[in-house]
Amino acid sequence: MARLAESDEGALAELYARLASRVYALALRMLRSPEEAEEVLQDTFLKLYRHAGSYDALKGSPRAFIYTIARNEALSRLRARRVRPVKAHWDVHAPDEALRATPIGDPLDRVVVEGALERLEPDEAELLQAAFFDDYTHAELAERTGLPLGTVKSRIRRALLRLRVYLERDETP
Amino acid sequence: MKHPKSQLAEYAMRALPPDEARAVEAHVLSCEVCQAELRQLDAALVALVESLPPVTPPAACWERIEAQLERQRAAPSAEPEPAPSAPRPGAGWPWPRGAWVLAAAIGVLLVGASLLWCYRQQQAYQQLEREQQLVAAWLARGDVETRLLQARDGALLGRVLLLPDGRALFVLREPPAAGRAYQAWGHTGDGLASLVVSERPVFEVLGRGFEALYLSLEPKGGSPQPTTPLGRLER
Repeated sequence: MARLAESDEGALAELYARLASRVYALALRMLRSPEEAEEVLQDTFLKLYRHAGSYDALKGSPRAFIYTIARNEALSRLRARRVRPVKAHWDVHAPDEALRATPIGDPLDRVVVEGALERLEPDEAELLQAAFFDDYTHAELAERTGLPLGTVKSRIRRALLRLRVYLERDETP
Repeated sequence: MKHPKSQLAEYAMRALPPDEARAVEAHVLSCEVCQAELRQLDAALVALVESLPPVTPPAACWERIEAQLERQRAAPSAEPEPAPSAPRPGAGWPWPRGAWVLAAAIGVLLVGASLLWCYRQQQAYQQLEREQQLVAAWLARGDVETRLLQARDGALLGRVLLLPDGRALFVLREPPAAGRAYQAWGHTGDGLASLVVSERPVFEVLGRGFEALYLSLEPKGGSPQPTTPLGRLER
């Protein structure tokens, strides 16, 4: 990130080689459109190049920084869809659609994350993924599930912290 | 300000309204307790992202990024425009006669390539889902034993799930390199027996009766004997 902050395009190329497939997968998962996912990928790395100087290690890891840019880019497109007419199958907020579990990918991650997610309460895992990937606000989740808003908030936070604890345990050989 | 515990997850997901986010951020920057929790939350969110199947983007994406950087270099004083995410067709260009036919043909080819690419991605995604379901089914059993499979230098190759009936499920971190395949071997006092050749990172073998399981990297189709040993697992 330090090299990138000095406008080192080689550093950008290295980061792209390492993380483009992750950023693209995140954008595809959120938007389900290859064209828009490509836009998000490009805009993410261009923003990263321009704003690397604003990275603050106190606020999170470089990967978290990059995925946040990508997620924000995808969220802005998701939210734009919400304010203009969209085809029903694009509307991930359709209240009659069940919340979908995320298919888990990379084999090792699949085992580790699946194991960790399995140890969460089912509704916790579902709430977490709906909030993170599908941009449900906590208030929307409260409305959908009938749970009090405070309960939704505390379950999502607890799910994240427990997920981290399980992942730490499982990553230790 | 109290520790804003109930808002930290929303802050980590960038889901707070701007004024609340600024208040939480101001607190976090001066509070080691909340910084520590935020690191935990961020790590869990990174793991969620990286649990998705990685998908290789089209090569043209990087070319467009490079082209945009080149444009910015050429006009450094100009305020950088929002990155155009795909080449935009010039409106009203005086294209020569016949160019439209060529453009239409290219368009048809691009649409075809895009559909083919989508189909392949869908296939790959379904394959990953099937593997995910297989691993989940194994993990759901109460009698499964999970062992790490490591290379000689200690690097983690993946895991092997073992069942009491001798079946074993290899769950490797990466698929084999292009043109190569994994081959699993069972070892007895008499030597090595080939159990399976797989071009996928998840595969099942029947390892009953073997003292140890071996993994090697081979050309597609496998080899009579291991050529590139990767790791060994004692039963």
